[in-house]
Amino acid sequence: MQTFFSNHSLLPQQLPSIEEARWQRLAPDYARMVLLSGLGFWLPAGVAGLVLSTLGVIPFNAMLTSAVWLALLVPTLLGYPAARVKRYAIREQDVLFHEGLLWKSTTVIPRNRIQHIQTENGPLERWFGLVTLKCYGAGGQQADLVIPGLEETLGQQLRQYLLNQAEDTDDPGNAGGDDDVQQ
Amino acid sequence: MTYSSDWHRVSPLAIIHHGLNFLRQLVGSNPGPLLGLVAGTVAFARESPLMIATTALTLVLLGVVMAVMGWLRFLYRVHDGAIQVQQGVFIRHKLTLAFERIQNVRLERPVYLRPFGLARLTIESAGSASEEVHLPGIPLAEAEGLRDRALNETPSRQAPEAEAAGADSPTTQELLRRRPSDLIIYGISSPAILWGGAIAASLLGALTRNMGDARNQQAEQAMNTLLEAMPGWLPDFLVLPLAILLLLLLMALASMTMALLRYQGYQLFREGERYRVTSGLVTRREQGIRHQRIQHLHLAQSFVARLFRRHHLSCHPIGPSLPDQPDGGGGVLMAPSLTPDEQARVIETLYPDLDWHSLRFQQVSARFMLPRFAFWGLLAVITAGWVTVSDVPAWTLALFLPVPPLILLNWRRQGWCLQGERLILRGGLIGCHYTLFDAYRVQTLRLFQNPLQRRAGLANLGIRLGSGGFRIPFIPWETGTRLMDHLLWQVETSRAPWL
Repeated sequence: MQTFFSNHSLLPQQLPSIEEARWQRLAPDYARMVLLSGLGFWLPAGVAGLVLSTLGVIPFNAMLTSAVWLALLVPTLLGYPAARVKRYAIREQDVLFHEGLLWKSTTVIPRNRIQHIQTENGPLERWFGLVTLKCYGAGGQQADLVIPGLEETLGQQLRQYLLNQAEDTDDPGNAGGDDDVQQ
Repeated sequence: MTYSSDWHRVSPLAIIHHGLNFLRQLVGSNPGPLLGLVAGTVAFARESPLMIATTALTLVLLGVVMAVMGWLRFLYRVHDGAIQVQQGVFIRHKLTLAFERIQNVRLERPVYLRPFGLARLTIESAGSASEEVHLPGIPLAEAEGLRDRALNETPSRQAPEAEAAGADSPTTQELLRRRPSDLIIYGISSPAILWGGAIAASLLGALTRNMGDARNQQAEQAMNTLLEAMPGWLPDFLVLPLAILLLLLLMALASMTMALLRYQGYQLFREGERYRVTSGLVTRREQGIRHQRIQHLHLAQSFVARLFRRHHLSCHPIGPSLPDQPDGGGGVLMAPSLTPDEQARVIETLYPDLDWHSLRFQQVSARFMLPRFAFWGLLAVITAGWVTVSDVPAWTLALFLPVPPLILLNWRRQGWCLQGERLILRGGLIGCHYTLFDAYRVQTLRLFQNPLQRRAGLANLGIRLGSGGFRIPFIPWETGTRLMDHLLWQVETSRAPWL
């Protein structure tokens, strides 16, 4: 079965590589949504702080204020490019997700290891018409692979598609184990 | 089917189990509040003994009534290929656990159940702890019947060849037996020693706190007389090291006792496709797991264990594993303090085509040490600064001396080896740990790198199995991607049952 695979750690070049995966970008609205939710969270608090300090309710300290603003604003603004570099790939046998501006990571979950799949959308996501797709493996507490920022119809299609696949692989010849795929 | 489909009740002795469990939770997790409560009660009892007595009586009666009610409402049955349990006094819970979903089974015979021919059965599924079935106090024969059924039930979807292999009558083969001397080594070299220490420390803390608020002056006086009673020939600077030594000795003693209690009479059997462990002095415990359910094998070695050239082996089924628990967590099957020969033999039984001695491990990049040097270097600089500005003794800096060699050693220990379909990871500091699993057990893979690693063309590969997550740090990016591709290929072409 694996005559081309020696016992030493020389890996065959013939295997399909994750580097050749066809990556898909997330919905363009997703980056906007991330920015909006980040700013929506911090801006009111920041503005309230500024107003209170100009009114003299709390003492104004230029250094401290600018430091806090920078510390909150920079990561929030960085959320935008970070959201833009996130991408995913659906291959025949697995689902991939890539993220990170500086700390980069690529996560893969084989499709025959997906136990159940969930789509979620919060109020802001609903506003933008986006969903988050979560794939769960066995034995873990949280989702193994999360793809945010999918257009709603696409998200549902993907979910259904991956569900079908998981059920297909569950024929008697291929014991995928106990499956909870009917979620 | 040998089981009637009626609902059964467990033996009333199960009440003892629930009571003990309650007490253990009360005492075990944090004895501080309990001691405080007792002290408060004692203080209060001096004021109005009658009220305390009536309150205590009411509480005890309430507890007994609740326990009896709980026992009356606890019913179980075997029905339609599943175990069903219903319980709860106010809120009824009903749990159905199909035999084919069972991950592992534990049969325990506590000392208070043994004379009555009863046993306690714990059955775990792949899900969370809330999906566990406890049957405290059922006849031994029935418990054994349920255990056998749970362990032999093959999922209907299992590959035919595996079914054929499981069908022939299993012959019992003893794989391993532990003498008390092995267990003593386990006691002083296992992480349980830390647990013993933690328990001792929390007890001591609670005691001193209590002495503080209850009988402050008396305690102080007692301490002073104790200090005065210390032999005059004992130099002051020796008091602290001696106290630490004494504490260590106590911890070791506690840990050895725990190991003996838990693993006395340890025997590991192989019966066809399943493994069974019996052990325990006070509570006879029997644990079973099917070979197919074992997700990964872990060989742990603390530095004390290294002195004895021993490894502690554990077989992990699916589920979050809690490696540092005294008994290795719920479903984990332990084989304590193995000599190199025993280790090779057990591994050979578990993974027949693996030649343990011929493994060649790949080193990870030496840059693995950089973040560690940076962290400890920073700590050393801060300490140095502290020493110069305040009156911290300068010898604290000497504590950093062993750090660089330890980091070097830690790096040398890191390694990985792909042999056939198996991946073996090596790690550790002074001792050497190994983690071994079949590539097809992989659930999720993650290749990640920080900016510095990217400049050096390195990455970490994170591997998650159903039984836990592991990491191969600081390997070349190309190796990482190729290893990932290879593992994915193994997972995606495998048709072996993996849950």
